[in-house]
Parts: sequence; structure tokens; C-alpha cells
Amino acid sequence: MAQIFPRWTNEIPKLAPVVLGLGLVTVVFSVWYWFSPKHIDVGYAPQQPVPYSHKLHAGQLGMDCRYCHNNVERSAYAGVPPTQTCMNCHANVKKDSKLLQPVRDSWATGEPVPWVRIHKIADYAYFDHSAHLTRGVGCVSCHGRIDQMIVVRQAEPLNMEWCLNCHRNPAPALRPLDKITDMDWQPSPEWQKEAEIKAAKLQPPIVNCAGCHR
Amino acid sequence: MTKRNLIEVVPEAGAEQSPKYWKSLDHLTFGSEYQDNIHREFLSELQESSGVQRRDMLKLMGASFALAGASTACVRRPEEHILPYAKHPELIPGVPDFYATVLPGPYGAEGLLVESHEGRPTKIEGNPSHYSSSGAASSQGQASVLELYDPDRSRGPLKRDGGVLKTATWSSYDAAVSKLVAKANGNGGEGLAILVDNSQQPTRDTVLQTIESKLPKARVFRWDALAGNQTQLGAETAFGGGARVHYDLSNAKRILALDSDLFGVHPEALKNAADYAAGRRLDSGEDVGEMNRLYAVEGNYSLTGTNADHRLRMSSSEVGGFLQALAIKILKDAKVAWPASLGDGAAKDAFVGALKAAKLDDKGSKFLDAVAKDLVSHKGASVITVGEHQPAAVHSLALVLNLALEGFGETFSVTVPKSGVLDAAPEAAAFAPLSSTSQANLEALKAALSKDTVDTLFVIGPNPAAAGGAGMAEALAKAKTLVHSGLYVDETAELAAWHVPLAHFLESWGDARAYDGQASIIQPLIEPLHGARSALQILGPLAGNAEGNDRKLVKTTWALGEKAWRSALHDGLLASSDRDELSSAKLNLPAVQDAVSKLKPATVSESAIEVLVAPDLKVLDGRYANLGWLQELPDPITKLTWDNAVLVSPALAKRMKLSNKVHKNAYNADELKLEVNGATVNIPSFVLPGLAENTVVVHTGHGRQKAGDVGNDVGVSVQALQSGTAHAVLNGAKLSRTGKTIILASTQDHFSMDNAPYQEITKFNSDNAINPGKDRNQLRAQTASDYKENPKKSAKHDLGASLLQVINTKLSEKPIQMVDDPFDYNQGQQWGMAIDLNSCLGCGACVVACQAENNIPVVGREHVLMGRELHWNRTDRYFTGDVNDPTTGTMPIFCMHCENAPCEPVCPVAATVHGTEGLNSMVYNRCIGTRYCANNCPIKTRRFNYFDYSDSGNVHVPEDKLARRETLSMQYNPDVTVRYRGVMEKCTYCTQRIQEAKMVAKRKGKDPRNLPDGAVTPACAQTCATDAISFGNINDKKSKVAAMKAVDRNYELLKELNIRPRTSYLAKVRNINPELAS
Repeated sequence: MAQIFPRWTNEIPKLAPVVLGLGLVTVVFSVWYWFSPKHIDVGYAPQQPVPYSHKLHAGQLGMDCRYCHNNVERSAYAGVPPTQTCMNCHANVKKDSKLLQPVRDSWATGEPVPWVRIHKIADYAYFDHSAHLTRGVGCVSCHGRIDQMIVVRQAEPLNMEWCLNCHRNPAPALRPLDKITDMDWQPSPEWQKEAEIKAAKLQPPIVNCAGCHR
Repeated sequence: MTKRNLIEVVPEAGAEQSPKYWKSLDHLTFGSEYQDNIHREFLSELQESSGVQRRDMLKLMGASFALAGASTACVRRPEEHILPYAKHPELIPGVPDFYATVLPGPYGAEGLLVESHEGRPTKIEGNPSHYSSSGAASSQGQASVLELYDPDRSRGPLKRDGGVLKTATWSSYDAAVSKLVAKANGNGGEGLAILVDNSQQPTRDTVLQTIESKLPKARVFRWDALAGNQTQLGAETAFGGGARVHYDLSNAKRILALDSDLFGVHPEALKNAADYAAGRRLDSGEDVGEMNRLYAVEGNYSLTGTNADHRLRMSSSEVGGFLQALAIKILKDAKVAWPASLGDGAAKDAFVGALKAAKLDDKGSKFLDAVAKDLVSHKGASVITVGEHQPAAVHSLALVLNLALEGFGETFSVTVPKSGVLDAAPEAAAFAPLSSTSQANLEALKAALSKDTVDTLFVIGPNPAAAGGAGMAEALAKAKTLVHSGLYVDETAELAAWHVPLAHFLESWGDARAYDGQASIIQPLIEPLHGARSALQILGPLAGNAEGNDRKLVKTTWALGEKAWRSALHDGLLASSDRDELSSAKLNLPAVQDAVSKLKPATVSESAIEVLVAPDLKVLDGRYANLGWLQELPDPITKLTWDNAVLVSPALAKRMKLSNKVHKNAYNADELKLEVNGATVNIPSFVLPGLAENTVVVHTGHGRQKAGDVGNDVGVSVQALQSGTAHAVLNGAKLSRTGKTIILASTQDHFSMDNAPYQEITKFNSDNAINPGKDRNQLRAQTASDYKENPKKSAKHDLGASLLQVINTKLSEKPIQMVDDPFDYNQGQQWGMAIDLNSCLGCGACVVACQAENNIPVVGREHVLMGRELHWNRTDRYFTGDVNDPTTGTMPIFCMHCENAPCEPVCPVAATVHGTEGLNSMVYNRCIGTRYCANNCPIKTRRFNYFDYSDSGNVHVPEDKLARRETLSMQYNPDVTVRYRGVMEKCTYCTQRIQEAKMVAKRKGKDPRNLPDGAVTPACAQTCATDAISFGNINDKKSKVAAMKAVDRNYELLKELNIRPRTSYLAKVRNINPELAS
């Protein structure tokens, strides 16, 4: 009787575990690498079209966050500043810098500077900057020490668990309203007591899905 | 399941009916089909799916999968960019701005307030300070934002070359126009004609006047198929050229609507609706004496007729005779004084003598006697209104009666142009040129075209080839050079030598006057999307006007200072009206008498059927045919979507043995051949209870060929029956069956509730041995006198109340509680809603509002047939009484946010849960699409995304047109998630608006947990002209919603289930005339 399978097929059982193993590793790696959302990755620090240094502007020069992010107390979005804001100073300061060429181009053409998004919350979650700031949650609580970052990176995971951790216990994140942009500020023991009282009144949405999802 | 011919099995008039309130003939006969449907979560699927439908579906699926592939492509964290403005904008990103503007309409401008997100108009509301809308908006006004983003809009100039329209450039168009202009300048405009719409736009009209004076031989025609030609002639016959009549229903205690759709297609429909509803607000049974009463006499079953307290079915051709009989009765009544301004007693006798009363049957004369008595006894607070289907003479006769009933200045007023009354026309046919009707304008244009006297015709805006009536397209083809400018490359463009895109009103500067003469600025919300030009820019070269800046032109017209200009823009109002209200009535009695004596009533009989051509309540004359929102909006009366039909009375249907079989939710309609005056239309039939027996109704605006992807080939065109207007009464029609059956998509049986979900419980108590599902009414109504005596009847009427006791005693100590209340609902801010069924007219504007606000996709005809429409808000329309002459009530139904919500415990992934403020939230990102929640919802308010409807924008779209999303997605409300397929959705009480109100409070340092009453208004409530929907904090006893819920007519649906819905209803009260109570 003729053989149905050629001789080389005898090797299949031996090779199978290796191939399957490699395949499994590939699948696991692919899913981990390509499918896991990176917006919950702490430390994400993409290169920006202009190497704008928050350390220089907010840290050394001591500019208030709200000079550029001026809508943060009025809108859900803090807002990346328009080119005009940059040009307020850079029309005179370092006006020949090569690094600032994209900014000058934008000002000349009206085309925006394509900043790369770092902090991203899922589309189905609606975060409001103004609600947090007017309640006394400072920038540093979510964005970290921006004033020490040359290149901005994501400091916190920004996932729902992280949100809720603070919503369940907001007191440690609260600060006086005049200190919301102060990155160095440390609570005094008296303030900690006051914050506890304030936090009890706040009751941010914990179990109200509609608070953030609509 | 067998197909039944419903007409054969409906009970005879007078027979005991069960159920008492029915949504359709199938419901009335309580057929197995209906019974099957009420036990289903969703409707059974259409069995006979044609090849085309399947192909569409596969295309759609293919497209969706392709997109799914693209979005999950192997890119690790696709780099996303933030693109800030280069120059600092005036707006705050993330905070919407509102701009006032007006929608120029066929009779007058509608005041609008447009919401804009970062320069994208997204939602249209009514302008609260504009008299025409008072904060409400019509379905069409709201849908005009979809028109702005319609992907089928014209994208650039087209030139006819070798018989086909080919892409051209604006510069080649300009060159061609300058040649035409040079020629016109040479010969004084000989052979030049311009057709524009009928709206009054001062700046545009100034440009047109410049053209007329510069080119004296050029002719300007103004036309709109919806314009009220007979209404205008009637008013002008009585009060002189240019006169207009305005009703004030807020002062009217007795209203008689003769073939008049006051709330449908009417110059002041929104104002009428608001005024009418204001006269029906009842806080207790003590108020019924103050309530108004609406009588209707009509052949159609109109939005006004369905809301009437008493209605007499009568063919439109007979209404004139009815009014003459009524006039004789009223004028001879000793209590009615003949107005001195109309002359002496001899004039009166002559006038009455000229009237020819119609012979009425017993029912008719009883109705007439009662109405006459009622109108006379409410002298000074009674009014007679006449609709566009009636000839001008009937309108003017009604005005004489209104005057005699002392309504002048009370229930109606008359305005005339500031320039003075034109000569009162002695005959209805001969008019001063200025007051020539829209229809006459088109006829004149048609005649000029037929005589080959038009070389160059500019059509700017209107689409006469599709709405101008029979023979119009052929006439237009005779123009040597037709230059068409419109939003779409439509039927008229197909005949044109040149087509150029016209800017949408949301893209252009301009001005427009309301029906009462009030002027407003049209301000642009966005740059023209496709490089379109405004009407002013297109007319500019003809007027020798090089000024391309419309804003400057408009500013010049009004010559306002900067401050006044800004406040005019802000308020949406200019302190200018070109009309004056008459302080005393000077009625031209001889003219009216002459016109009335010439009335010749046509006979209507079984062999000479009357055909009423009426504008569709959604797409009107077809101008909005490409808007999915309006095509899918169920007609307020028939609940037909994506179709039109010839509406036939049950008696006629029975006589003609018409099939009205409903199978698997599809109406298998017999196609009818309609022959009248030499015109033939083949159109499917739809049986509508309430029509006059020998009157059939067809709606205009359907069957268009060049509307766009959405509107092409939807329904049947009735152009052959029209002549320059969307209103017509045609006599002597013959109907015959063609033998074809056509499937119609009516949603009248969709989402029918099980009236007796408590069947099991009834077993415990033999006293409650009821007929399951039949004896229970969701819509509750009582008569005014009954309400006064038994104010709590509607609430008690419930079988549920007693059944609750049964449950309490037999099943357990406590009522059924699905889950323990997670929160204390007596504390804090708890949202709730009350809907006054006495105010709800059933117009459907709230459905469009919801669709616009909540990013609800259009699913298309095939999916509506499967019951997959996604409208969160449905308006159930119930008939009651004689199948030939029913009474109607409507009831908007959407998620009730039950405190004890049956949907919640069955969700395996907790995707629908309660919040602390009593909202039943739907968490889309948790939902896995088991649909258990919808299955368990006794009110059937949940909707499921079977496909990715949002992405394609519309299921009719072929794959290569998926670019539709580019502009359509610009309409999306950024504050609401766009849902993907496989996700359940439903009314959220506009949770995004609640959140926004809280954010505003937080920014101001106020308490978001104690918002002031009125801080949150859901989209449906905001747009409701009659203010039927109240929303607010039910724990705040001073809030409007709490006050509404405290009214004794308040009742809840399916109370015995102890679902504790947050939405409750206030029972409808019918103000029955005791003399007509049968």
C-alpha cells in the first residue's frame, strides 16, 4: 500500500511544540505591544515639533501655567495656547532661534503647530479641567512636576481606577484656590484638617456613571 | 401567522370597542400580529427581504468591517496631534457659543438660536425673543443644520457641455455671466428673467430693485410652493393689497378651524401652537371654565384636526358651503351686531342674501348649530380660521364673520405694508403687481417661457422643476440659457446651462422679515463649506454691484451704528418692521360679497372622489427630501417614514376592498391609480381613520430624482397633480387598483407596550378578571366636565392601583422591588419630568431635537421596517372611537428613568445603573449588547445599534460615498458619545446638559447639587412650542416639574409594576360641548 503521507511529515510532531511556542509568543507580544492602549502608560514623552521646555518657562522663569493655558478655569479643556501666545514674547525674545522656526512659520501662515498629544482620556469619558481647578485640585496632582520637565511626559496613568482613587478620597489633592498652579506648595497640618472638611462637602462623582460618561 | 385584511374585521361604528385606545387597525382588531409584537422586545424581522435590501446590507457590512480593520490597524499608539489656533480666537475652546439668526421661509422668517462649537454649528434652537418661535423651533428649522452639512450639497460650478454638466471654475462662470450682463445692459434686460424664492429679504430685494430699474425689461419672479396664495388673496380681498391676517389664539376661547392646519404648515404655526396650548393649561378642575375649545371642519386629518375637541369630517370642496350656512346662522343671530364699518342693515341683508348655504346632513347641521351658538356666546373671544385649501372667497367670508364676532384686535389682527394699503382688489383675479401671488408668479414665468420670451433665466434658490407642478420642467427647458444656483445639483440644475452652488443661510450674511414684518439679520455661523456664493453675490453682477462683501451690503441697508448693529446681531431682532397693524377694520364688503357669490362648490361623491394635495409635514414640498432626520421622522398622523401614500378613509377602503394587510410589521399596501383632470399618479394606499369618506390625501415632496443619496426615489411624486403650489383640491378623481402591492414603513405599531404585564397577578384576584392587554390605556383622557367632577380619575382609573393591593396582600408585604434602592431618593437633587398630554400636539419636533442633540443616527427605510429606528423619543398616536371618525391623542414616550428600573438587574455587566440623582445611566463602554435590558423594559424605550449606523451616516450609502462622514460628523454634539454598533442606547434626560449646568455652577462657585429651577432643559423640552414637557428637580417643591406633578391629572405608566417612573403624564382633557356630547 502506497504511503499517504510523505516521509518528511514525521518531523511535524517534533517541530510542532517549537512552532506553536513561537507562535504563542508572537501573539502575546503582538497583543501586548500593539493592542494595549499606551495612553495609560506613565512616562510617555513623545518628541514635540518645538522643543518647548516647561522647566525653563514654568520653572526657571516662573510663568504661571494660566498665562498659556488660559481657559483652564473656564472650560473643560485647558487648551494648548495659540501661536499668538508664543509670539507675544518670541516676536522679540530669541526671534532668530532655529528651534522656533515652526512657531514663526505658523504665525506667518496661520497653520497650527502640530503638537503631539500626551495626556489622553478615552473618548467616552468627559473630563472637565475647570471643575477640578475651581474646587482646589492643582495642576500638579494629575500632571506631576511639569515645572521640572524639559520634555513633558505623562506622570499619572489617567485610567478610571486612578480617577476614582482620588474621587473617593479627595482631601490630599485639595489646596487653597490661590495655590492651584503652585507646584512647590506643601500642605500644612492646619490645611490638612481644613481639606478634610472641604472634601466631605465636595462629594465628587464616585458611583454616578453619568458624572463622566454621557 | 396569516395575513388578515384588517378592513374586513374592524368593528362597525357604534360597536363595543376593545381596546378603547388603539394605535392602528391591527391594534384595534387585536390581531395575532399585534399580540405577537407586544410580547417582543423588538419587532420581528421582515420576512420577505428583497434582493436589493440584502445587497445594501452586505455593502454596509463590508464597509463597516473595512473600517473596523482600519481603526485597529497595527500602529502602536497612533500619534495624535493637538492643533491650536494660530491667532487667538474670540471663543473659549470647549464652551459653545450661541448666535441668533433667522431661517428665511416661504411666509416669514423663523427666529433661531444656533449653538456653535469651535465654529461648527451643531444644534438649532428657537430664538426666545423672536415672536415667530418664542424659543421653540420647527422640525425643519432644526434639521437645517443637517442640510448645511449634507454631503450631497453642490461642490462647485458646473457647466453644460455636450449635454452633460461638467465641472467648471468660478472664473469661467464669471466670464460667462459678464457676457450675459453685457448683453442685458445693451438691450435693457430684454429676455432676462430672475426667479427667486418668496421670502422677504430686504437687502436682496433692494438688489433686485436695482436690477429692475437698471434693466427695465428684465422680469423678477418670486415663488415658493408653500406660500399661502389663497390666504393672501383672501386677506387682500377683505383688507386691500398687501394685507395679512394674524390670529391671536391666546385670546380665543372658541376656535373654529376650517380646513386649516394651524399647527402644521401655517405662517405662524409655532406661535399658534404656543398660544393654543396656553389656553389649555389646567392646574385643577376649577380651571376648565377658562379652557379654550377647538372645532375643526376638514377633509384631511390634519395636526389641528387631531387635536380638535370636536371635528366634523367634510370634503374640502364642501367647506365653503358649510361656512356660508354658518355665516347665515351667525349673522342672523340677534346677539350679533352688524359692524357699523360694514354699512347699514341693507348692506347686511344683501350680504346674507348672497350667501348660499350648503345642505347638511343631521350630524352636520347639529354640529353647525352648536358651533354657531358657541362662537356667538363667546363673542370677542372666538375666531374662525381658514386653511390654504379653501378658495380666497372662503377666507374673506371668515374675516367678515370674525369681524362680526367682535374678534378684531382680540382674536385676530390685520397688518398692512407701511408703504400703505394697495388698492383693494375688486376681484380675486385682478391684483396690483406687488401683491401678485407666488403661484401667479410661477404661472407668469411659465407662460413667458412657453412663449419663448425668456432668453436667460436665473433661478436662485428654488427648485421649480421638482416642486413647480406639472409641465414646469418642460417649460424651464425652453429657456435658452438657464443659470441655476442652489444648494444641490437638483432637478432644475439638470436643465441648466450653468449650475453654481448657493451658500446655505448658515453660511451667509443677509436679512429677512418675519410674517408680521419684523426684520432680523441672517448672520453666518461658518464660512461657505464648498466655496458657495450667497444669493447677494450671485445677483451682484446683474445689479452692476461689484461689492462682494455681503456684510457691508446688509450693514448699508440698515445704516446702524456699531452698537445698534451689535445688539441687532445679538438679539436676532432689528427695531424695524415694514408692516403696521390696522387700528380699525376697513373691510371691503362688496369685494367679499362678489367673491363669495362666485363660489361654486364641487360635488364629491363615490364616483367623483376629491383629492387633497397637501405639503408633507416633514419634507414639505420636497426641499428637505435629502435630510434623513426628516425622512425618518414618523409623520405625526400616519406615522409613515420614508414614504408617502394616498391616504384613504376606512369606508372607502372597504368599498374598494383595499388590502391593508400588515405582516411582519410591513404594511402591504395596494397601489392605486389616481386619475384626475387628465393626470395619473400610481401611488400606494394607506388607510387613515378620520378622513372624509370620499376624500383622499396625497403629500408633496416625495419621489424626487435628484435630491441626493438620501432623498432619491423615496415615495411617489405627485407633481402631476400640482400647479405652482403644494396645496390643491382636485375634484372628480377616479381610483382603481393597479394590482401591485407596495410595502410601507409606518411606525404606528412599533414599540407597542404590553398593556397587561400583570397577567399572572390577575390570577390571584378574580375581581380583577380583566381582558389581558385590552382594557388598559396608556393614554388617558377625560372630558372637561368629568375632570371637574372627578379630578383624580386619571390617576385612579388605573387597574394598577387595586392590583398593587393584590400584590401587597397576596404576594408579599411589600410591592415588588427589583433591587434595593441604592440611594435615598428623598434627598438632594432628583431629576424628573412631567409631560402634559393636554398640551402635546404630537408634531414630532422633539424627536428631531433629540436626534440633533444626542447624535442619533438615521437607520434607513429597511431598518425601520425591522423596527430598528434609533429615535430615543417616540410619539405614540392613539385613536379612540368610531373607526371612521375617531378622536386622537398623542403621547411622547422615552426612557422614564424608573427608580425601580427593570432594565438594571438583568444586565450582566452593569452597563445600566442608577446614579445618586435618580438617572438611569447607560454606560456605553460597558455594554456588550446582550439586549436583556431592552427585553425587560416594559415601556420599550431602549434602542440597539444593530450596525455601525453612525459611521456611514446612513445605511443607504454605498461604500464609495463613505466620505459622507467628513461633513456629517461636523454636526455631532461633542458632549455626547457617538455610539458604535452592538451598544444599547436610550434617553439620558440629556445628561450632558445636566453636567454642563453643574460645571457652570462650579465655575461660579455655586453648589452643583442644588441647581436653580430651569438651569437644565433637555433638548425635547427646549424645542417644544407648547411647553408640554417640564423637567427639573422633583424634590424642589417650588420647581415647575414638582408643580406639574402635583396637578391631580398626573399619572404614571404601569404603576402596578412598581417601577416608579420619574416621567409622569398629565391626562388629556377634552373640552366637550355638551350639545355635541353623544
